[in-house]
Amino acid sequence: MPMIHSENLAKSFPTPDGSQKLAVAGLSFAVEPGQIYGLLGPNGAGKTTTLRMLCGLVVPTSGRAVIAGYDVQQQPLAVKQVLGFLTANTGLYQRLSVRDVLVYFGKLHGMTTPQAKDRAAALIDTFDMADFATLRCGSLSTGQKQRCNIARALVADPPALILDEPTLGLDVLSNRVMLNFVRDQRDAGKSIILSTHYLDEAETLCDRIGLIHQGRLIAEGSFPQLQEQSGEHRLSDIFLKLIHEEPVHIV
Amino acid sequence: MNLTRIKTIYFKELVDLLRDRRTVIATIIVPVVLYPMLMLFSVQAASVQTGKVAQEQIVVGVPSREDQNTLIRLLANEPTPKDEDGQPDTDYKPLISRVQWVITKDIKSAVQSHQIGCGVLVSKVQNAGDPLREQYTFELLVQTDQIRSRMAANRVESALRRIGQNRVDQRLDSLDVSRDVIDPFFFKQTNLTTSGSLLGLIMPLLLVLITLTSAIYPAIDLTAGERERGTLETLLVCPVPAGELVAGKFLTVVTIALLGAMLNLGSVAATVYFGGLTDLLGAAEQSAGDLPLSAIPIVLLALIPFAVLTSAILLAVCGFARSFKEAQNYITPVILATLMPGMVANLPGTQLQGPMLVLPVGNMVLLVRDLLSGTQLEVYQIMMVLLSTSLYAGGAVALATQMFGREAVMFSDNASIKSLLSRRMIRASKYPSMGLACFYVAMLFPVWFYVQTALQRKFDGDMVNVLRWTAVLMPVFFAILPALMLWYFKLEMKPTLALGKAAPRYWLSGLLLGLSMWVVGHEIFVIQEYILPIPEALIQQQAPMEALMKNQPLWWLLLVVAVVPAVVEEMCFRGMLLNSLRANSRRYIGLLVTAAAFAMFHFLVYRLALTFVLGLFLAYLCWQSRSIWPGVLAHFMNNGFAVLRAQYPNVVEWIGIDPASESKHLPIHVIVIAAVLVVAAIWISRKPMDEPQSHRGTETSQ
Ligand SMILES: Nc1ncnc2c1ncn2[C@@H]1O[C@H](COP(=O)(O)OP(=O)(O)OP(=O)(O)O)[C@@H](O)[C@H]1O
Ligand SMILES: [Mg+2]
Repeated sequence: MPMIHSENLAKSFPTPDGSQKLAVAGLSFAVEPGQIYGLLGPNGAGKTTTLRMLCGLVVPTSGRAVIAGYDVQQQPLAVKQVLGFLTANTGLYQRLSVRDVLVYFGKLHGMTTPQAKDRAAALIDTFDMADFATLRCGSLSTGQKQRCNIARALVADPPALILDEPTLGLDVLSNRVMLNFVRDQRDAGKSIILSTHYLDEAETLCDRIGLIHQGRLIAEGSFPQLQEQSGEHRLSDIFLKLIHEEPVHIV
Repeated sequence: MNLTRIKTIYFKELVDLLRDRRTVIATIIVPVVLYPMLMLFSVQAASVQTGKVAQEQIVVGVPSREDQNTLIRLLANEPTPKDEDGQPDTDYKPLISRVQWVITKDIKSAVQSHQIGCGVLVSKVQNAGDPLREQYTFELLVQTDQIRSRMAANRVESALRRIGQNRVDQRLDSLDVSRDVIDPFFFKQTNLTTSGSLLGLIMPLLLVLITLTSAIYPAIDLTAGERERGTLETLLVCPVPAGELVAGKFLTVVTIALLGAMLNLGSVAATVYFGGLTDLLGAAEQSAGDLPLSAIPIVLLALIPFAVLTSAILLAVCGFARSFKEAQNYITPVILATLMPGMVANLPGTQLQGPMLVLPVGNMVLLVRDLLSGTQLEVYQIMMVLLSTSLYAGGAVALATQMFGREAVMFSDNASIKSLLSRRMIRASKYPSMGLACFYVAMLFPVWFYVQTALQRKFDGDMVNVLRWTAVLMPVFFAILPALMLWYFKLEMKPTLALGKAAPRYWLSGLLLGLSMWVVGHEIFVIQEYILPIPEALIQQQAPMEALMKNQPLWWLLLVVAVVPAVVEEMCFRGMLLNSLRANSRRYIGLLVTAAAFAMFHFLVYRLALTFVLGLFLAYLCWQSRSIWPGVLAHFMNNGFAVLRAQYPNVVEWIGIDPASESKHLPIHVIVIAAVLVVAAIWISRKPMDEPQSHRGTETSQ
């Protein structure tokens, strides 16, 4: 049984002229434990919308998503308990310290105050944040914020992680921290689904890649499989080729 | 509801807000520092200005030199005014020394263009030059909204009056008559205005305004602000129900609103005291000592419901906004809409009665006004105000919960915010959300109260017509409008209104409850008599109703008193309201909320307990059976019994009840039988009906 799993997930949005725009048009995929699934696609392909539907932030027009055996629409709270969510523009509470933020989210996930404090201390240690753990989040650098955000997403040690462009805007160093973190989590047996525009990153990181275009999955498989299918070597070439040849390559 | 989690959210939000410079400035610095400064400054500036104007030359316009000469001649003998003890005012400078004369034909436009202070026309001169017989009529042209003009006219008039008085004395002297002869009456007025009634005039609206202004910033910050800063998304992926998030935030807003309001009030009070402004505020007659002190406990208590209501309203409104700016745009009309009923209620002469009892905001304004001025109030008035205010606040919080974290608010552009209510965009689901149902019921409350009051007014004691029209209108408000709403929001009518068939055992329960509920009701009523005796006036009011119950045809009474209310009230309360709660809360909460709402719709404090308990039974029946029909049966039988009792006193006597007395315990055998029936009814229905499978998803739009 896959950890994250979607069936014909679809979402349409109303447009100002009164018609409907199909942002996600029936996506089905599955992510096993210990696997990184890369959701790739051009701007507006529907990646963010898909990930939001997985978290229960956006209600799908049709289809369903199941995480750790819980249906996202039917048991939203159970799903949220097993989910870590992180995006490039996730904000932190500017006026709380790093430690306060971690303790707060720990408690929201049902921990007692001592438990939450222990967990916060452990995370501060893991992500090497002791230097700025008592500073308010508003005064942190982008990289420090990102580390704090990662720690926040891991507060409840969730088995499933959903990351929407987690490396957007990070420098080489912070980028490395992020990628190492993702790998570590995979090695710890987590199921990770992430979207990114950095294709070389995806090449090395992802165990499976799903290419989506206009809300549809146009190719899916491991990097070598995709290479074989398309006859191209680089992921960016595969990407361009598939997008231009679409819909020939629908899997 | 997880209270620990709500507490966590509450404290975090409070810390977060209080660390925000803007909150601190808006709720603490402004009231504590700025208000006194502004107030002292503006009051002083006003008095300086008044003093300055008083020192200026007075410009008086006259149409001709002849008139000027007449006035100068008269003013030459101006007597010095005397103070209260009869001593001449030594500082007084005669008017003649301060006047600057202007001769102009067009006095009117000269006044209007502020070239002159006031104009004086001398008309109807008789016996000019003879001090003992001359008579003048003066016409003063003044623009009273201009302080210079007003003061000029006052000065001229009072000088001329004093001269006139002097003349009267002279003339009486010449006739050898004492002044007393022409003054048959003297008057002295003792003002009994207390600080309370004075405060009562301004305080209630001030409270609305102050709690509103203190709640605005936190309400926006915790909703739209959070979304704008990108933290709301994180909060929404935490395993916490929206209701708890809203509850925590709501309590935070209430706290800040209370804090701000107290600081504001304290600051105003301190300014009034220490700034020596009591005189200027027109309270000179009272000893300053009893000004706000005695009123402080009442005002502080009254702050709470105000803060609760305004915070709830603001939170609901800000929930629609996706940014700080947008929220601010929404808030201005809301403030006006909130103040309007308050101002209506504050009109002089308005009393806390009839429709005013349930006018949102307005009823609180009146309650506080009456409490402060020491008006005698009945328990039921206070209860009505507090209960309806809680209901409105509850409705607003429900709406806020409903909106909180909704996709259309979270991630959309302007086009789709409209789509929130556009039917095309509404996702069909089975049951209405708790927010929607509670909101409808909360809004229906004042509407139905006004309908009832209007009917009473229109037919003025003609109970037959009141009942007839109630029976016609009830289905509209309790069944047809809810059904339309359900249709609009694409909710399933049959499961929501619980119109499906019920299994036989529930029918049996309904029958047993129908047979026994009136006994329970009767006993509750009798016990209540000990604690809360019904006032004689109220019993008198019921007299026409009782007469009618005896005289009208049985079928008609059963129709309007039993059938119609049974069907439509079951649809609205046990159907829509209870089923919206079913999806989101435990059984006991669902039953309690439904019963409380049902009880409140009977508008009489004396029936609250009774209707609450009956509401519990009926709600239980519907929760278990997923059908309103057994409840309709029980409800019908219960109301029908009242009719039968009135029509056939003999039957009642036969069971052992004294038909003449409502307030005696029933015979013990009746009570025992009824108790057995009730227990049996509950026992028979103990196993709830399973949710019938539906072709659509079972989820609600939470
Ligand atoms: N709330 C919304 N209302 C209307 N349209 C939306 C909404 N959210 C997304 N869309 C539309 O849905 C489509 C998919 O958007 P989405 O944000 O999922 O793309 P994406 O793959 O994440 O793109 P990017 O790589 O730029 O982040 C876009 O065309 C977008 O305009
Ligand atoms: Mg995106």
